[in-house]
Formats: sequence, structure tokens, C-alpha cells
Amino acid sequence: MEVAAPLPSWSIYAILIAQGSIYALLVWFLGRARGKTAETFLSGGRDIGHGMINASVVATWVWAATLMISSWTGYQYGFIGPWWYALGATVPLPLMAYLGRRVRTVMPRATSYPEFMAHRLDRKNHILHSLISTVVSLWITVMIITGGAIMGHAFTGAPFWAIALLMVLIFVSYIPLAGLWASILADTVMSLMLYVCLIIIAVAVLVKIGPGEIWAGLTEVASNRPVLQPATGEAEQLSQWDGLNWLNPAGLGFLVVNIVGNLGAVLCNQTYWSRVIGARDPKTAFKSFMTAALCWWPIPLATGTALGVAALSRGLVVGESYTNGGATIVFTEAEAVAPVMAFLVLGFAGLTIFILAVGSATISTGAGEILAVTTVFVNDIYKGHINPKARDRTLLVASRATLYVVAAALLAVVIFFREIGFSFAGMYQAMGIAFSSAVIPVIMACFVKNTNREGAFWAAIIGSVCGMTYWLATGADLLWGVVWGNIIVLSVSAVIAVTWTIMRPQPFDFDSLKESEGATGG
Amino acid sequence: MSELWYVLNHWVTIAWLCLAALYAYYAVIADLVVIVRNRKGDNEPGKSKT
Repeated sequence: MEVAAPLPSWSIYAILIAQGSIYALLVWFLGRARGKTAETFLSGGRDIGHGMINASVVATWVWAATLMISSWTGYQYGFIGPWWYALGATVPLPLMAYLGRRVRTVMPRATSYPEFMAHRLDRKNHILHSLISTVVSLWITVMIITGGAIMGHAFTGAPFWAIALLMVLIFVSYIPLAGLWASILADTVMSLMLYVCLIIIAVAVLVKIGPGEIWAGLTEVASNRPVLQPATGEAEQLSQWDGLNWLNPAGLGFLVVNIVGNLGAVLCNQTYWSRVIGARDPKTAFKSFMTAALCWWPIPLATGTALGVAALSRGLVVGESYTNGGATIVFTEAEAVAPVMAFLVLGFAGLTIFILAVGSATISTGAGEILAVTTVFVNDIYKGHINPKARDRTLLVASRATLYVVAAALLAVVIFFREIGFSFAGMYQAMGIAFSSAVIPVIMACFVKNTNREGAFWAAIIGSVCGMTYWLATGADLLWGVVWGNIIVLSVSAVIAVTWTIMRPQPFDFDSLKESEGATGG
Repeated sequence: MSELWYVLNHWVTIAWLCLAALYAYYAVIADLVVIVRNRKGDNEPGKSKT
């Protein structure tokens, strides 16, 4: 994305450094005691209240993509796009509320979800889910750092690598102080800040353009059929001209991709399980995920409506230049519609607010994901397989060392992917095909006492292979190929796991899990 | 879709966002009160007075 940078490069550095400093100071003053043992470092002390867990789930579930892609859906599919985006991405949160409450109830001392799978199923499922969880977290972190750094570079002109480096440095500035508690505290601050930023933008669009004018613009687009994305195919054009249709077909396809992809991104992701583990009790975990669903939903909905739908109604054309207050911005790709529109409505202030919001979203999620990788490595791989007799002090040192190593490796991967031109949009939409085959086995392991261990294992593997094979056979198509790929992944894994369990049930006593200590000790 | 429905849709998105923000602030403040109160007594994790 090449845009004449309207903001000075120091602005992104200032935004990121200020945020990192605030989080590090807050964690130091309020929670450094949580970093004294591996147990509290990885589990947050298991006494965090509803308000912080709720805000943390909201912050970690708001990615750069939540703001950028939800606005893109408004621009691409019309008014229904942000509704489908928000619905698809909200579905996993209530589901996680039930799963989290179940796991906290049957295995109160669990530290990670692969650890639960180890005790509930067997060793091979433990290894598989440790790998899946690690890959999910790494994938998401790469995706969000890339997205955040691309946007920062586009609108401030700061080098991509410098922004990515700064983000990673911020992750490792406050997380090593107090682990999970630090991550949740910083998320809380970011979540509250995010709401203020987004309310300012949404209200500004309401006041400066207004829903009546947006409706008139959408009607005009539907009747005049302008070509807003000259480089795309007819299907994309048609969905834009259908911007007032409740049942926009392409938008419905996106809903499927979003539901399936996000199920895997939440249910097979230690970041969200960590919020369950850190909660005061099962009831707090349940309530927090339920309220987080309701508090998260309006974020992409309002942002996508205010920026994406408004941009469609104004007939913004990809490739054109737009000016505001003497400054010019180039709308080079549809995914960048949100910051372009923020700039057109509020000028430099709008762009700065949007960058602040995306920066917060990126830091909160990235820090949580890096900590999740650390938790799985230390709790499940190091303590679980490499050094089962490791003492608490050793685990604490291993946790901090892993954080730094993972952060450095991620930075290298992000810069490498950028160099070879890996697609950000493609990464988001392919997410479900890669991860979501493990969703049904996880749900069955939590609730179905007869779940077959072999069935759960092979369902996760074969489902993903089938979906990936189909998707690649369509030439990695990002419209309907990715929709059917997601459906295949979930269906195949469900059929395998359910059929195997019905044919060869393996009864399990969930009460036996109560005696299981967390791998890091109780 | 009529203009009335669209206007309603737009207002719903903003009203919901504001309500979500209010709830998030309320819940966090309630938690912070407990954290600060606990800090006055004991900074050790796992010893919440709640």
C-alpha cells in the first residue's frame, strides 16, 4: 500500500512508545508481585475480576483486522457487511463462555487448554493441540503485526521494520514483569481507550455526514452502478451495487468464512483460554465472555458502518486521491478504506485517532498471543515433556526466556513475509481452513464423556487436510473457494469425530480431572 | 431498504457502542476499587479480600 504519508513518522513512534511506557509503569506499580512465581506468571493468580477479564477479552479480540476488515465489509457488501462481520466474529465468544466454565469447573488447576486435552484425552492429542495452539497464536501475531505496521508505514512514512520492531519491543517491555496479569491489565486500559477513539469517529461521521445522506449515497450507487474497484472482478462490483440488500449473497459467504475461521481462532487459542484460567472462578469466566460478546459486537459494527458504509455511499474509488485540509491521501486498496475515511471526516485528528485505535488493538492482541505461545511452550512442552521435574524458579526463567525468543523470531518472520509480499487479506480468510478442524474435537472433549481419543485426533488432522486440499485445488480462491473450504474443514472433522465416538465410545469420568494439578504446580 | 430503516440501523450501531463502553468502564472501575483496596492491605496475589 503506497500512500503519500499525511502524518510525520515520529507520530507513530510517539503513539507506540507512550502506550508501552504507560503499560509498563502501571504493571510495575500494580502487579509486579504476580511475576514472582511461574504459577502466578502463567495463570495471573486465578483471581482476576469480571471487569478486567471482560475488557481483556474485548481488547484481545479486537485486531487490526477488526477495524480494517469490518470497514472493508461495509465498503464491499454495503450496510449488512459490518453486521455479518460482527456476528461471525462474536459467535465464538459465548461458546467460549460455556467451554471455559466447563474446564474451570472440572479441572480448576489447569493452566492451558492443551494441558486439559492431555488429561482428558491422551498424549498424542496433547502434542497435537500444543502444536495447533502455538501455530494459531504465531499466525495471528504475524498477521496483526504485519497489518499494524503496514498501516503505520502507509500513514506516517515510518519504515515497516521500525514499526514492527517497536511493537515487539513493547510486547516484551511489560509482559515479563507480571505475565498474564500484566497482559490483562494492559488490555483493560487499551480496551477503554479503544472505545473512546471509536466513539469519536462514529459520532463524527454521524454529525458530518449523517445517516440520511449515507442512505441517499447508497441508493445512488445502487442505481448508477459506478466502478469503485477497477482492478476487481464483476462479483465484487455487483456486491457493492447491492449495498442496501439484507441478503447480499457475497456478504453471506463472508459470514460463513468469518464464523468458521473465528471459531478456530478463539477456541484453539491459548490467549482466550488464559483469560478463562486467570478469572476468579468459573462463574466470572462465563459472565465475562458473555458480556464481552455484547461489548465486542458493536466495535466492528459501528466502525464498519461509520467508515466502510459511508465510504461506499460517497463512492470512494480505489486508486483515486482525496484531499482534506490541504493534505492528500491516496486510496490504494479497498482494505485501507477505514483510515482513508477517518482522514476525510476528521482530517489529521481522525487519522491519528484511528492509528491509536489500531496500535492499541495490535499491542493488546500481540502481547496476549506471545504470552500464549510462552504458556504452551513452558507448561505443555517444557514441563510436560522435556523437564517434568522443573522447579518453579526454572519455569519462571524459562517463561521469560521464551518470551524474548518468540518475540525475536516473530519479528524476523514478519519482516521476511513482508519482503516476499505475503498477503494480509489472504491470511485472514485462510485462517479457518488452517485451524478450525480442531474445534469439534475440543468441544467434544469438554462435554461428551464418550469421546473417542483416536476420533478426536484424526478429525483435527483429516479435516484440515481435506479443507486445505480443496481450497488449493480452487487456486486459493478468496471468494467462494475459501467459503467451501471452511465448510469442508468443519464438516469433515465433525463427521469423523462424531462417527468414531458413536461406533467406539470411550467413557471418561470428568471427576477424575479435579485431582489433576496444573503442570506448573498448584 | 427504506431510509427510515437505514437511519435506525445507523443509530443502533452508535447507541450500542456507547452502551458497551459504559458497561466496560463501569465493570473496570468496580474491579479497580477492589484492587486498590486489596493493595492497601496485602499485595500478594491470590489473597483477594473479595
